[in-house]
Amino acid sequence: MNMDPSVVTLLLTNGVIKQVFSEVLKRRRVQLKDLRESLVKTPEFKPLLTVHRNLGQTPEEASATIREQAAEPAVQEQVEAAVQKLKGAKLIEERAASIKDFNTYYVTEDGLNAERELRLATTL
Amino acid sequence: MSDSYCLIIDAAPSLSAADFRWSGGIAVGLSLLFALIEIPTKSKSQLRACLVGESIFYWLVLSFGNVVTTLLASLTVVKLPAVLTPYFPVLTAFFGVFGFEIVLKNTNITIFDKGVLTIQNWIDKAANVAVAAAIRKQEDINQQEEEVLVEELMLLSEIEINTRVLDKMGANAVGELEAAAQASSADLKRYKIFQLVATLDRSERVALLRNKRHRGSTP
Repeated sequence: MNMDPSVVTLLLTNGVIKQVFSEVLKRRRVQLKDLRESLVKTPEFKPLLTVHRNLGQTPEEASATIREQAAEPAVQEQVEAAVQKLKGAKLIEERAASIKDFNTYYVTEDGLNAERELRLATTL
Repeated sequence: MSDSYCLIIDAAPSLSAADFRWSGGIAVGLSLLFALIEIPTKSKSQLRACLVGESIFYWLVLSFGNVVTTLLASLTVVKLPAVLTPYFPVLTAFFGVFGFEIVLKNTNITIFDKGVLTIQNWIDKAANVAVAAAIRKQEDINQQEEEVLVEELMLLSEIEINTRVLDKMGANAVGELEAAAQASSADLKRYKIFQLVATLDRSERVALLRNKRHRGSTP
């Protein structure tokens, strides 16, 4: 009935993993490239970035910078490590595509239960 | 005075067995409606992806709770003015179903003084099972559709693909996608098509799939 303590630790102590899980949870299903592009906008990924956005960028330039940031090796490495951990904990599942960037990650029943239990835990 | 008082007591409305059956039926129907709204919303999936066994299980659990609270609500509804008697089955089901959350959130199942689970927990867990099944089914549907769309678009020339990418994603997209595909040692054309398929909205996907079916049926 209760969540595995190692899963709780995984989600509560690692900011990057927590952020990746939140993103999959929020969207229910997301492709790897979209996941990376969303995550580079979060504070957890800021220290990993070498390319930075400027305030005066047009929307097109800003999108191009985000794509560039998402393609940075450190970001790719961290996101892939996080999804592997979440897959191992059975919180998300992967649907592989012929090109890795288009692999889809979707939340499982365990993932939904984990969200609920952690939400309950944080509201107590 | 005393006679008229007795008359009022005698005329006091109460739910008949037929009214109970109607109330129960309406509660089950409302539960189905709730399930049909809640599962697609929570799973962010199409309705057809939600038509799985797990959703039926959720509906049954929800119906059970709603029928029980409907029966409880009937005790209150019968105290309403007699003029509303014909509507008692509907009102009972309404109060039962909408009062359901309030009643069940405050109901604990305890065994030997230890709380096991609230009924609300059971319903939430059944909902999670149904939502997860719908997400998985939607993924299967998406995968099948994407495979068909990719193969359909692979029939087009590289120039046509570039034109569609340009139109859909802007001026620099073709160059950026080609650079990204080369960096990952991926098939350039397929990479662009995957990206294109990901940006297609529902109506564009349907149009492409319709074209494919139309061509398939033309000798």
